[in-house]
Amino acid sequence: MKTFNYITVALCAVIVTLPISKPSHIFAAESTTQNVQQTAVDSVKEAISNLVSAKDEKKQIETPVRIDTLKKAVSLAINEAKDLRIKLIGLEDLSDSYEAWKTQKSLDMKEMIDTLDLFKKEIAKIEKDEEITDAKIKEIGEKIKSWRETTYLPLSNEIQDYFLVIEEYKTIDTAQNRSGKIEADIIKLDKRKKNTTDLKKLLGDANSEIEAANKINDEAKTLFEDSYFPTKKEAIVTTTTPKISEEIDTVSIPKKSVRDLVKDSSNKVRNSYKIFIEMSNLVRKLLK
Amino acid sequence: MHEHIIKQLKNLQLIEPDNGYVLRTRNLFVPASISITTPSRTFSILNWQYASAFALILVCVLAVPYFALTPEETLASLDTAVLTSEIYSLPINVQLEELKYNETAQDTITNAVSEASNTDTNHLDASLIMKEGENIDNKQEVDTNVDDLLNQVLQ
Repeated sequence: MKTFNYITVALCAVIVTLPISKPSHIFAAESTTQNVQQTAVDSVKEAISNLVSAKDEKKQIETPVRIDTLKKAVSLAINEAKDLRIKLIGLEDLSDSYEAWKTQKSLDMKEMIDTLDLFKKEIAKIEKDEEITDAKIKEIGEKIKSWRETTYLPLSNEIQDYFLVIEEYKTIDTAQNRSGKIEADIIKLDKRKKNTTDLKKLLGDANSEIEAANKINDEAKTLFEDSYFPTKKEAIVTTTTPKISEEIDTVSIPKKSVRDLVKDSSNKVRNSYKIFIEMSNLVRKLLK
Repeated sequence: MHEHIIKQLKNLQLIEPDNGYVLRTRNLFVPASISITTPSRTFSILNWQYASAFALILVCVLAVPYFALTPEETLASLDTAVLTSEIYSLPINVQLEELKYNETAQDTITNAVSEASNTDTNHLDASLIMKEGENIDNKQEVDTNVDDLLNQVLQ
């Protein structure tokens, strides 16, 4: 029984620790939709591989393979854009400024999807053309590439940043609820005249981690608003004049992005769960 | 009328005292020094003894797995299974997983578009060169094996 408990605690510790280096691998929640999306990505990767081989061997099929690769890439881009827009539209209980942001970004995403549809039609037109030339393919390819870099990806990153911030707030809420439940149980232990000094100290440590996580995520949210809410950005620019020392600081220390801050915040939450698991082990010994 | 009385008398003829009454009246008439065994009563006591012993054994047998399998007392809020499940489903972990997939998809799209529109360097693709490099390494291994065999023959 004891061994079983130790194994359980060790497993929990591994689960908490591993995500710090590779969070996505541990918390892989594969759904059917994700599998379908993964298949679409794999299909494009396969097309790239075929094209690379065809180009190297200067095969007759090189041009059709180029077209096929472009078509698959654009189809995948359309699916990705549609999924992101659906997720964006699904956002609820937003403040007025965020509701306005959501409406604007949803319209922007609709434009992106329309543009991608136009690219798709253009590629189909080139494909039907009796004289398909590599120059035409190169032209449309470079057009798509440039549009993605300057227009689509910045918008996609902005929306993804917001999702990260709100999901981190939900994560902090979960951790705070857990802390509250543990606190209530410690009060019960006090009534049973158990020594809860160590438990209380650990709970305090966990709460500090959660508080720090909340603070960092607040910074991430502020940075998000400064970066993407035009009115707020202008207000800051006109009202604050940075001192020379502040300017030096910003030059010497590279500023963290919204994503960096959210990841720092989520690491703090993970630290709090590490402490909860330590407490779980301690309470078992206490109740023996 | 007579028939009815006769029938009643016949029924009354069949009436017998119960076992308890027989024993009690017999003990009244027989002196105390003469012991008369009452088999049914002895059997009843034994029956109770057996039943008690059996019940005791049964309780012991059932108690062993009960105490062995009942989990140690812990706090509901600090249950490791609950904590593990909660860590798995933290919203940020799900979001980071989605972000990772999204980044892979965007990189793949960028690579595909770049590769399709690149007509200048058809023979300098990194994956192609790496693949060819692996083939050369394998070939070298085979050659070394052949050299070793030749050396062995020449020795």
